[in-house]
Amino acid sequence: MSSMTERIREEAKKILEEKKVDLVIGYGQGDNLMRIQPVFVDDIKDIDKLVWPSFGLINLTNYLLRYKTRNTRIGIVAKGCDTRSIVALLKENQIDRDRLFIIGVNCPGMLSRQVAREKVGEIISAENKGDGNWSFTTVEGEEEVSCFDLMPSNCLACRHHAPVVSDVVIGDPINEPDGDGYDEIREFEQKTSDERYQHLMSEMSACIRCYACRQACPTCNCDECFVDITQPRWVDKGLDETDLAIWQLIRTYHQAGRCVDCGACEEACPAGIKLLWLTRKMNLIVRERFGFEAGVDPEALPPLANYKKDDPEEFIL
Amino acid sequence: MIKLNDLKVLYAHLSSDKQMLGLKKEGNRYYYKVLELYDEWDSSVLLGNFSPKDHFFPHDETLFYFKEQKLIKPKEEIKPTVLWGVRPCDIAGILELERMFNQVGEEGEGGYKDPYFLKRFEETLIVGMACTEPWPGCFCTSVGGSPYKKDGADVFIYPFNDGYLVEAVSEKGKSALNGLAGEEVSNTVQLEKDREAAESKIKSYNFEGIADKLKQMVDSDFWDSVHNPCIGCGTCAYVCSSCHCFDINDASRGSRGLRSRQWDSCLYDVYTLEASGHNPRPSGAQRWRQRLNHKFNYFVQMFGMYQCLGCGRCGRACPVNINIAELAKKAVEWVEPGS
Repeated sequence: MSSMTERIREEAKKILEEKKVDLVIGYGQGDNLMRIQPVFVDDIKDIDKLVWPSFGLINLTNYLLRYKTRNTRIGIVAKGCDTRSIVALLKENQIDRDRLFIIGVNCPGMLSRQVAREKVGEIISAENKGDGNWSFTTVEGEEEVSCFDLMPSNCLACRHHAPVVSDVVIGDPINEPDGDGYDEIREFEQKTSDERYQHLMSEMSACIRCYACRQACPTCNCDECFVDITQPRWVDKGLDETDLAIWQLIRTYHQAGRCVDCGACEEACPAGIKLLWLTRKMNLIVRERFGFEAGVDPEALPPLANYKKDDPEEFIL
Repeated sequence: MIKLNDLKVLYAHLSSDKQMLGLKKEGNRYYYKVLELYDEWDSSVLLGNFSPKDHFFPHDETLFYFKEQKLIKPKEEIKPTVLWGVRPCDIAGILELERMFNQVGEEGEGGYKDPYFLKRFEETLIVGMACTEPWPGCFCTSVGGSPYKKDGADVFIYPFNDGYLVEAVSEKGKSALNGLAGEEVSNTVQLEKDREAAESKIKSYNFEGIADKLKQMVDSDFWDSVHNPCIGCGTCAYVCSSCHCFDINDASRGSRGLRSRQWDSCLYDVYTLEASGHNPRPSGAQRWRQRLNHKFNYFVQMFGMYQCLGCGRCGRACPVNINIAELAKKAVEWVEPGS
């Protein structure tokens, strides 16, 4: 058991015992080491269900929205990006800080099942070798991969490993790397519009419209999603490739100045679609034009909630 | 049974006049797709990420087009197809769809025949294949299946020593194998041993009495405790080989358009949303009650079989790893607080 797991259990136990919270939402072990199932601990006897995962690309902040109209006091285990979600949701008045106890974690970055599958193929079982390497049994045999090669693009580009808001912080501080982490997106921008269009269409053609990306995202919290509205019908329901592309493009637009780059959408996708290049492109636009990053500064107003006379207007915004 | 050293022989025999549909890698996922060549077939993943359901009951199917008052049927040619190398749990899933879409009786009195499903079902030859190496997460033996169960297949393939044994299971299968040359094998004692070995590798659950138990759990606290991790996406229903709920939609521009049907999932909040705005299943607890009951209770009452075939795809694809077998086990073991 990792010391991070121990520390999370300690803190969770403490706040439950001191009756600071009614419930702790954290990561729990799923079917194997690559699978995580969120746990909702309201009794100290279940404290051992909490773990600190390696493959933890789930944004638990998502679950806070369920308690919007209830008085439940919640403890939540939150990585750097998750605390950015908390800040963003606080600004949108979706959650109540007074009913929240944040167990912040200095997160070294998570590993991705999607990346692992891309690297080694369909995985039957996985083992943590303990030396920074993971060993996978796949349909083709055994393969060992370094954990650095299993990180998703958002974790590799992360500059906010430390919690932005928290009531207690676990784990050693992590040095933030140089640069802004958007080199990959800038490279993509250099492609011709035809190439970018082809890329969008080929990625989106795999979409099965299960909406796992939407459901995994704390920012996708509209009471009524535009794809579910039948009158008027904004997007048809089928698998027409234009509709598929429009669904994801509008989802991205709705994230403008709100996406915290946690990667939960991409990790949730059962079809393995790379969704982050769209949201990260949007994040880069917001950053370059408005000097804003979602959920980083608890005081700053999001660009869509703020008007300045000198807002750049060279595009439709 | 006919012994073959190479399945290519059988593939060539069947593909001469039929289109072949088998597991194929696209992107980094495995789907049942049309195979142009034998070598495109990839059997290593056992089940693939998506079931062959889409072939019989497409995810998005146009029922008809309309232009003002005129209805136009889609011009779709249903090609004779071989569903190649499909595993017993998926065959059970297809049989389950057949129960649903081809119900005996008069229309209006419980009978229902879905022409869209049936035309595809009738044109398909199902070539099943035994699983010698089941995956973690498989639990077919707990829901009436077996990695060696040939029921529902027209032709069934058993890996056997260094080669394969091919059995014609149905009349349709017999005529399809007509003219296939190969050594006849009658001593199949080894197959029984292989079946036992494969079954012993599968995790076993005891779901006995689950239908009756679920009947008594309508108002149980159980549902509040189990639905929590679920984020309410449609992944499990869409990868499932037996989930058959659909939604019907019109798409129109001016006076012309089309009517189509798409897969739907009972875990969506809009699934039961009524036009008035009322939603009889407003929370995940009620939606999960429906899902588990449909799989392990209602279907048992109606058709005497589980609607879950034990492939384990849903749990593998689920973003939060909800394992339906573990959930059903919890329901069987559930004791109501205070009772």
